[in-house]
Amino acid sequence: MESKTQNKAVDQKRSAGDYKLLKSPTGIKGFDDITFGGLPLNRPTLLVGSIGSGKTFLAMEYIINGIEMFNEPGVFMTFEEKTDELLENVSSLGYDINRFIENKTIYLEHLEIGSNISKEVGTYKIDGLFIRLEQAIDKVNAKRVVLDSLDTLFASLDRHILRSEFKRLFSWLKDKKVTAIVTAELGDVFLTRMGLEELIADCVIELSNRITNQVSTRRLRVLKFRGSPHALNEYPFIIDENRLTVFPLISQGLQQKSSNERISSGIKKLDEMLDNKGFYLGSSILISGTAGTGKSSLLASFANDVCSNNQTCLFCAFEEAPNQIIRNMSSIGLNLHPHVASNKLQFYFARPSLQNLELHFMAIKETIKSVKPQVVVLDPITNLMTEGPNSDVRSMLTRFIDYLKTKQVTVMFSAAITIGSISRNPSDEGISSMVDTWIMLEDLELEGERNRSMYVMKSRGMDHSKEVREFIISSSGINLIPIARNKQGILIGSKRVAAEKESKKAEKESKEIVGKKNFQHQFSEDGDVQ
Amino acid sequence: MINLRKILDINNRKGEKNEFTFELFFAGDTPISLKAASNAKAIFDKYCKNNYTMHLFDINKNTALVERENIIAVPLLVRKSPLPEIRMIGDFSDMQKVKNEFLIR
Repeated sequence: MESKTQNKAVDQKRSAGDYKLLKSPTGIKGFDDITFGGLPLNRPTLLVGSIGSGKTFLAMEYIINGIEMFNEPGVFMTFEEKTDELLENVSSLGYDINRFIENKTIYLEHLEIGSNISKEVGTYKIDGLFIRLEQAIDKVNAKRVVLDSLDTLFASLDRHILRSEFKRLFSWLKDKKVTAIVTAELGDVFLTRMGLEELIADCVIELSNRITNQVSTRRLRVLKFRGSPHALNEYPFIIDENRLTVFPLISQGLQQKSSNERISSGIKKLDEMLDNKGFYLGSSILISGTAGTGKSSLLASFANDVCSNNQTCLFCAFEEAPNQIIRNMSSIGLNLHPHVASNKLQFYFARPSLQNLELHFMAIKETIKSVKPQVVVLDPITNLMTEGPNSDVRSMLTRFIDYLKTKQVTVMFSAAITIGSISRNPSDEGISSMVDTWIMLEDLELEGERNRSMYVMKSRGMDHSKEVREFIISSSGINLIPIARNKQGILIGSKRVAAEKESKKAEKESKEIVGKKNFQHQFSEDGDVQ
Repeated sequence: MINLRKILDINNRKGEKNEFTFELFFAGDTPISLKAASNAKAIFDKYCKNNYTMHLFDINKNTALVERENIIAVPLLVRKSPLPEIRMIGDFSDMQKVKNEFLIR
């Protein structure tokens, strides 16, 4: 049996001319990437998972996509749900399945087991199932078949006979030249409860639903794919009203385009530090700093500038409500009201604990799809870290950034860090590697006074400034001032103001001597400088 | 090809109302089908002679039956009357078990 399949695979390899097994694409976002093309063509695939892990849904998606995308009719045979129940469930997820039934591209059949077999004496065959399958396949000329789930049969039949019958069924399916998905429950001793994995040797996919920190995440893994390479990791996937999506890290990175265009940071002086041009379009920017260093202000200023340039910005707030942001930002001279009114500035506001990360991620993605922003701002991502282990947040963020990059959306996000964490761990929370530009905001404490400062930690692909500038937030907006030095040390905050006064005074004085103006007038001008 | 009907010589007497009516569904004239049919006949002949009717259906020849009768596994023996309907699959090699299941009124 096994050698036969292997021979087949070899034949296919030879005839195909390359070393690829023929695949049946699923059309499921991300899935075809991790399997390098889909399920093995004309072979059964075992889909195993615990209760509620999304087996039925994935299988249904395979059939529907087959009809919609690849013009391949399908048969969905269910042993568990009644046909109308299944119809209802599937329609509620956004499929127009009745249309497919009408134009005979899908055939749904429910095989009721309960009343079917009450007792069993001696040996038997499952020819009834064969005939029904054959009828169903012929009715729509199916290329794809789902059996959901075969386990149910084991409840009432002798398992030794059934296993050999299933073996016959699977080779029959191969002969019928259909690609089949067979679902099964996860077992304790074997992979599946009834050891079906021993019968289907071509492709095994496992779905699981794990809970970490009270947040559950669906995951998918390709356990086995005979004759084909496949991605080995576990990948998170989600099911929502927009179907099933697997999030492979590998797939999206390949499609990224890198733009040479620049986008202004909204602060002229910051653009100066960045090659005099600003950020790259479609890059990711991290603003990190301790509490109260002005991260949100910087973000809002960027958002404001984007909207002023008639572009759209999506502001994802995880800390403050939109109204609060608008109010607070008006105190530093940023009037966000007109941008909100003209829909240039859109908000996504959610408490991180509202739902799991995947759903946040999806909700934001959905908003992005409808809003189509040029810029996305996340404030702050560190709040999301409370909602799952850091590694999860990181991989989610990486995927999210990858996604934005494929869309050429510039993303800026803030991260709150604790004092000294940078010197302890320079790769801040492990997220620095995935950002293109990293701006640090720091409090400089000097002689009983705290002053904000800013520097560009890194900025890929540009000759950025290495200097530390004083970062000033006032009612008229944000300004960056080069930090000056004199004999006493660095001049920042009130020291700088004093020094400025001094120098102005000195300047005035020198002018005074030249211009011969009166001293009284100069004093009154000094009073204005404050 | 073996003709099950001929071999088993099932003569259902017409017009007479027998107490038991059975339907046996099988797939093709295979050894399993034959075994099941002859076992069933032997049991019924022994325990309710002249008081039963047995109809044989080959699902390979009459595929519409499969859906109508909701058949998955064969051979399938169904007691149509008296009600309740009782279904049993297998080759019916355990005579006692079949008797206990089917011939309780």
